[in-house]
Amino acid sequence: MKINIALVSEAYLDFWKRKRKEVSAICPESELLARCVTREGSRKARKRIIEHVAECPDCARKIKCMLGISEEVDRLADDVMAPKRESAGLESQKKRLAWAPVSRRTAAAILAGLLGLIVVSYSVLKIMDRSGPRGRPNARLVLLSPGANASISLSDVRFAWAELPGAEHYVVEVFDRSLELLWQSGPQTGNMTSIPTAAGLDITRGKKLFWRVTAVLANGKEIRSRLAKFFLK
Amino acid sequence: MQDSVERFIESLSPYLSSQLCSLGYKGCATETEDLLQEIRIRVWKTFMNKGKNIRHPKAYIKKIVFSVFINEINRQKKEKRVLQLAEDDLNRNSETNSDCPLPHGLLNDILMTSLGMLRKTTRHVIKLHFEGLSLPEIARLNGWSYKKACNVYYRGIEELKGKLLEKGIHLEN
Repeated sequence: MKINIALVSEAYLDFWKRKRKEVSAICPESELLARCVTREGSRKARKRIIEHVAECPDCARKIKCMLGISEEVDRLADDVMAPKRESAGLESQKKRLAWAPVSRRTAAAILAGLLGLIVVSYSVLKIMDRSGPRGRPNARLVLLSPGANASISLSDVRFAWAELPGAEHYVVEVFDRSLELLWQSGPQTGNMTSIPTAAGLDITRGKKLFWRVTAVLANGKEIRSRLAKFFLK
Repeated sequence: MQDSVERFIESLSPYLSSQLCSLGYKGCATETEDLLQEIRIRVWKTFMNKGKNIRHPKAYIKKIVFSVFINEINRQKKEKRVLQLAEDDLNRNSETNSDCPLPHGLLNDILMTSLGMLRKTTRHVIKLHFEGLSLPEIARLNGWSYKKACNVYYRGIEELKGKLLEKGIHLEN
């Protein structure tokens, strides 16, 4: 069964015409229809009126006329009546002011976003720049000799490491297997040192030892190397 | 100011007359002129008394025009009430001229049931359009943009098509 929109519309209007008596009993006053057109009154009231208008051909015709008049008055008032310069200026100023809070809010949001971005970027850069958390060895301070797990005699022990840019001096530490400090050098300006015989270390053959280097920078910061293991022959 | 008000009322008068006619109020020329005179007087009074303090002259004029228009509608409505009842009786008893292959009562029931199944907002927009309001008027009444009104209406029509199709009615464009 085929029909078109015109027939559907006609059927709809016919339905409400037959029900006119019921519907017209609850028709709102024309003044209320006018208020609906000028968008006065509460939103709920306007909604109720529109719901009624959707089911009442009479009120629909009236409101259609009023909408037309409203539009025509707007058009004619703009064309024919010379708008007052002051009020026009006030109106445009009001419009500008009405927009201003929106722009200010947007600007404030953008500024806050930028500030947050700056803070985050600064923090990230700072973290990248950090030498590392305290206590953790820094891979940048490279130990050269003795190599890991090397087996050497005490007389051949020569501690060597790669120079670290910015380091003022270095300190070498030797630990026993339980990581108890056996020997600590004084400040070393070079990148090489050995254990003096006068140190009197109680070192026996086959003993496992650990060593590390601490670089002290000009600003007082310390950068420690990882612990390296070696054995004494 | 006086000249511009006069020009405004002169420009509005044909439109106002046509709107009154569309509501079925075929007043004679004198009656229409009376309406315009009333508008003229009330507008003058307002602008004479409050002239410089009126910030929104358009809204003021609109209110005056509506007020006069509504008073006229109400006055003529009372006169036409008896005739209206008689017309209703006639309409109820007569057959409707329609090309619709379905009995009108059946189509009405199916249509109202299908409409009732749509979303509230969509339903109202379609109903208002069936009542004769154009999409710009519907948009203005609801405080929407024209685009929104179009979207809601056309989506609603598609949904209505689907509902009618389920009942065996094919709604063509």
